[in-house]
Amino acid sequence: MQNISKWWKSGSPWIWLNAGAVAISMVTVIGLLTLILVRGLGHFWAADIIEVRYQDSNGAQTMIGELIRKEQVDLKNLGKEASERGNGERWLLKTGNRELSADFRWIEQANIVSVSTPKELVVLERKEWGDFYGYLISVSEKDTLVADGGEAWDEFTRRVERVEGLGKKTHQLERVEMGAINYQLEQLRLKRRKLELDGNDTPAALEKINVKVQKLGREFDSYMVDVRALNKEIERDSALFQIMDGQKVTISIAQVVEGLRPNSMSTVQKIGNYISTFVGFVSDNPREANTEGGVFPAIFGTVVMVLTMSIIVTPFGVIAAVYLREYASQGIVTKIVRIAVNNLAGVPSIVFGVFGLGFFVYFLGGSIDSLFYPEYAPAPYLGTSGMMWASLTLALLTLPVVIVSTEEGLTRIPRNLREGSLALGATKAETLWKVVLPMASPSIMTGLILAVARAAGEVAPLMLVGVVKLAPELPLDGNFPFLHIERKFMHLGFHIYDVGFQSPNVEAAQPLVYATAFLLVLIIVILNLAAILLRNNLREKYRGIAG
Amino acid sequence: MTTVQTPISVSIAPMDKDNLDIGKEVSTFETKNFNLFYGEKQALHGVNIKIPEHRVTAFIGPSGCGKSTLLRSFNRMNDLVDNVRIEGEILLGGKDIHHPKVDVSNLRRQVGMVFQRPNPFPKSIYENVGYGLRLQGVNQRSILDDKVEWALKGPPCGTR
Repeated sequence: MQNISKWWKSGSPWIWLNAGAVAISMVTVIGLLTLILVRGLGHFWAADIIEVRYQDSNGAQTMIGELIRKEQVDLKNLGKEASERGNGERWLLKTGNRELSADFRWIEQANIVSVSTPKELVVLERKEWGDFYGYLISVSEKDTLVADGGEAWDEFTRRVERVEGLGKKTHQLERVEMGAINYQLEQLRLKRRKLELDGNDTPAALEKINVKVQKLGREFDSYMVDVRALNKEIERDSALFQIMDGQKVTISIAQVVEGLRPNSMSTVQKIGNYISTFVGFVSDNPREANTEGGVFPAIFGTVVMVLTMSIIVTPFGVIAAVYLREYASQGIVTKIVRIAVNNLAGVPSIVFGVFGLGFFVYFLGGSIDSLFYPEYAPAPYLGTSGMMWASLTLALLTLPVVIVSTEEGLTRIPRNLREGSLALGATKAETLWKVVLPMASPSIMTGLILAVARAAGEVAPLMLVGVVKLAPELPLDGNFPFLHIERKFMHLGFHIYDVGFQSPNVEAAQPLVYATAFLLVLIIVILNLAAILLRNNLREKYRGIAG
Repeated sequence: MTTVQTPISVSIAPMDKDNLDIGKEVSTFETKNFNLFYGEKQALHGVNIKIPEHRVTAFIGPSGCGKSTLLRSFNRMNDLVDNVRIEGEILLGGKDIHHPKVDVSNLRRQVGMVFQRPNPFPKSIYENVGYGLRLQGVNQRSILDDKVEWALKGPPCGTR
């Protein structure tokens, strides 16, 4: 009895409690990251494809596909006779070929006759309809057979590479060259509209624009001819496949993104393939309602938005903090302002989204449109959700952290340092600018780090003020003025939501959700690490003096 | 409550001991019935002194008697302390330094001050030494170089 009371008094229970809390936090974080890593990164591995001979009440059949997972099930729950086989294992098989039949199926292990991994099995990643599994029979150019049997595969990979090269050319022509022309044509249309609205539409001015338009139109047409020719070339070849039910299917090579025979690949080849698939995921545009392809625009949008937000929030936050701490007389008003700022940090983010939409987008953007950009009407220019309003909304959201940490930094600057500067005849502003603010910069960076961490992970307000499922253009490109603040953009956080919950094919989207989540975490970590490194450098610089 | 008035003694290093007469010296600073309060607490009580020109004047007294406060009053460093109230006046060359038209930073440029503890700015030594000049708008590299070198090598730092 006494021992227990002694143990209680000694404080050990608290130590155990603390240690337990820390351990739980660690396990949670590590577990979360591991889950995301395993589920997300496993997706890019070229797993073996199995051929399953299967016998059930519908008769014998063969299935080809990738084993996604196995699980124990109570067959009774599936409406099956449990008495016969009892509880069993069932496998989820990804059989692909979505345009022909179901692409994911559950099979009961008890009904499996045999499983094999034939070396000739081919997986195609396609531009539409997801993956394709089957045996390659022959390759044809136009309608003439060029290769079959043993040579078919080599011929096939050569032709896939050729199409890939051509595809890059068309992409360059369509998105970059023709995109630029389209952009210029749009600018010219706006210019003409503006001339009309201002009453400056003299025949000479209009003629000048018309000449330009016609010149651009001719360029566009000539590109169009090139693209048509290229497309014809791309669509030249096709391949004949046999799928699991014995049916023969012709696939146009234009549809193929990548063809693999994973069962005959060595581990080294698979690692090489893994890296290139992952790089593709990070650098490609999404396809098929975001369930296939890459997430590059989302990564890009997230980073550009966070950086724009940082550029907006830092000066505002610092100026506000300097005023509050250095210039405002410390009284009831500053106290109220501080309380308001702190409470701002506690407002739910969706409320900021609503505010951003109502104030920034509709009121501010709408007013700017009607005052300065009447030529865009009836389409809005800044009066619709976009990059800038999203950044501003998030800047507002993160303003409190920057203000609070900057204020803290300002109070920590030793008094004698300010006096030293003032005694030399510096004004207050000069002292602030030359001595106080540089020394407070590590604290400002701390505020910025917290702001970035919060902003990068925020999704709810962004859905209202600028993030979309699919943005045709990046917010930053080669067309003047390069940073297009009015454009809508894609965001990793929203991408996760969209792919995971709005996609027509949940099973296929699942690994992408994890992979995207992994990328989002990675990007936040990288942004934070960069800011932390910068802060540590600044701290090192001012360490001896502030101490 | 009684406040103990600590007298401030002024001692002037005589250049010519025999002919010392403070009354005849030209004074730089002159305080007239100068009182200073930190909130409720009075720190300086009716100080009346003259500081002669071209002489080294030292304030001597026990700690807390107001030496630093008086000294800091000469370039109005006490303005920076919250709740400071002053009465009386301080004249610099016959002009009241608390006159509303006086530019405080200009006053501080004229009335230099060395603090008890050194407080270097978060800059290079060069920038620290040149800080005052830069504040006065001297940005020409050659002038700065000369002055900084002079300050670091020359009389203020001992031997040349």
